[in-house]
Amino acid sequence: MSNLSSVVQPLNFAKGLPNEHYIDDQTFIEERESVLYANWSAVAFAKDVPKVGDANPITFLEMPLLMIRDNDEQVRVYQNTCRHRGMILISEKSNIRGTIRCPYHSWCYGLDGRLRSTPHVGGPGQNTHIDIKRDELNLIEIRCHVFMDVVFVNISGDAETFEEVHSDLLDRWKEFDKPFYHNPDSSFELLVNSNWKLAVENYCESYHLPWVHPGLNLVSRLEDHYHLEKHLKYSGQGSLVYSQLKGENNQVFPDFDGVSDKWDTASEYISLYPNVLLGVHRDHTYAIILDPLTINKTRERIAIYYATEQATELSYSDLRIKNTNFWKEVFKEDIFVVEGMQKGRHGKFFDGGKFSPVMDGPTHLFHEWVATQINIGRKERVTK
Amino acid sequence: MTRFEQLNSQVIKAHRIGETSLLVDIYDMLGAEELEKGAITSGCFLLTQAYVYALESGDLRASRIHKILQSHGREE
Repeated sequence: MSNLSSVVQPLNFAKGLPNEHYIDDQTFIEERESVLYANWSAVAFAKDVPKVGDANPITFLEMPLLMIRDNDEQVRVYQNTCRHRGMILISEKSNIRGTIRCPYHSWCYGLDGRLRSTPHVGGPGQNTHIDIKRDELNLIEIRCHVFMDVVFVNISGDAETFEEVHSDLLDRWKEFDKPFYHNPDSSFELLVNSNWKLAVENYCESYHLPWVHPGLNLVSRLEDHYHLEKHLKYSGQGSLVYSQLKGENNQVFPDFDGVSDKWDTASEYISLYPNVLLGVHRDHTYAIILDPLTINKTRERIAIYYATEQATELSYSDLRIKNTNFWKEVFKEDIFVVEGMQKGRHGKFFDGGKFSPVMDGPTHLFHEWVATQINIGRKERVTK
Repeated sequence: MTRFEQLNSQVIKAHRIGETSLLVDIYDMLGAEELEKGAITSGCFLLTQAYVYALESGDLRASRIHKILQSHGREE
């Protein structure tokens, strides 16, 4: 069991998470339960189920989930496992016109998760049995919440509501609580050979910008950035010098309706714990979902959103592609860093690292949050 | 080819290509024929097959078939 006492110390005296949290499989499992399942983790984009009946199977840390758009046009997430013999229900993205039929013995579930039919369960042509109580065998629903089109789930089922946990951010970014528009050309994925947390840690801070993103040094200098720090909630950075991307004939993306003057030149980038990285600007937002495939392999799923439907149309196609390529290059510039830190965690004398008391506050906050979640999990296990 | 052989080959093909509407057609028709003969178990077996595919595909016939199965004590 890792020793986390130095991680929860104040920034000036703290150390980072010990190596086990990046290279030890047992610790990975502990984090899965205490950090990722116990909180609101990002697993998908709602844009991937645009129509009623759309069903999208997701695997999150090996757990099979099924995201669907129900008859009320709400996103719902179920455990993608039949209540009968544990068969995977939906294996490919599809549209459910009626019910979800298990391909094994054809138990059928409605989009609301209700078990609708249990064919031949009492013998040939007999679809009932006194000991098959359908209302006790509905699909297992996983708590979910959609924010900025990101679908969050709380697998343990006992976290406070998303609105309670993230009320500070919801308030901070309430000006962006508006419909988002997406074109499929504004999504991409990156596969990174590192633990998922290193991507969070790197995203939190601006300290690395002059060295890893030198292209920003003249247009968005280090001193133009400020820390975003909300204890045990989120951390990140903001910039005071955002300028809109320009295309042919100075074309720019339309702004979000009604955002305040602050955003004319500001942009903010937040790691929303545990595993989603968000960015907001006057004319577009993006989200990066970190999908922890294994302890040292992470899939980054990126989607960029615009303020108006018009920005997703053909007339903006060149500018959109330019924007997608811009962000793709920025995010790719970070890959050698997170992969390098992953390799560095095999240095057996690395002690978690020494933070800059001035520049590393946002990263320390994330470490402290992770350590706190793990300590809560350890305490709960002892109590049980 | 006998009628049975013809239907059997249609059912196999419809299963293979996922043509649920045809599966409902055939199972529904055969189920009704069995019930008419008084063969309740095999009739309900076939109607169950029709019912499941109708449910899966949102076929409006599901409601009618459901009522028949209920009347024989075979569905909730």
